[in-house]
Amino acid sequence: LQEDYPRFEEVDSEILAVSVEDATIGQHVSELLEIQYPILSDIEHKVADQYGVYNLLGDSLATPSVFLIDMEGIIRWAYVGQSSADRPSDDTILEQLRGLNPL
Amino acid sequence: MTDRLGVTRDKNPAHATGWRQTRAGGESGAMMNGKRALIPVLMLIVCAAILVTYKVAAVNTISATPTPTQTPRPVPTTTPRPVEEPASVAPTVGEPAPDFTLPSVEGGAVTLSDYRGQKNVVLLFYRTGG
Repeated sequence: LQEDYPRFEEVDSEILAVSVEDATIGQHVSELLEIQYPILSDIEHKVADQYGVYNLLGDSLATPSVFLIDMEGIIRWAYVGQSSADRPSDDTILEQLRGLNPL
Repeated sequence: MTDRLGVTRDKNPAHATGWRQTRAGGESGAMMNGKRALIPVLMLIVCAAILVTYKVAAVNTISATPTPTQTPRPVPTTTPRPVEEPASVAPTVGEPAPDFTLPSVEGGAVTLSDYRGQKNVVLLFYRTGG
């Protein structure tokens, strides 16, 4: 995602990465990869619960998942991983975003 | 069986008192004697009915005792069920995204609805471990 971040900016999109893990781990990752988009700490997994992705794999972590929310605040696309490594590719997400913004 | 006996037990005393009153009021002595002879018989039936009812009740409690030994069997299978699982319902496509404010690792807080009318949001739940 980091390498493709400019491509997300092109389609008027912000990436918000949410982790239920300890913030220090998140910060470590953030520094390590110099991630440009916000990494949000959801230690109490409230947001993960809101989106129904917490502990789906039974490991007390958020299931890897992506929700595309348009400018109206409506969820337009969702992908919830079936395993810890199951994630949609950047291209898939970008494709969906372009579908939201036919510019 | 129990119902029948219960019915006869209930009805008989009522009939007996009813007969006593009406017969004593206007009927002849011969009729009175015939009815008086009936009363002990009725009393016996009532007693028999009570006895049978108690026996049936006793049998019920005895037969009810083995049932609890059968009942606990399903209970253990039901008890371990409460496994901690999220009861939350995932929002579906087309619905408004649940708003939230979360602290950013870089500092400050981020609120989802702040992006409304500004940008699309790629909300990404991720994990560092494998």
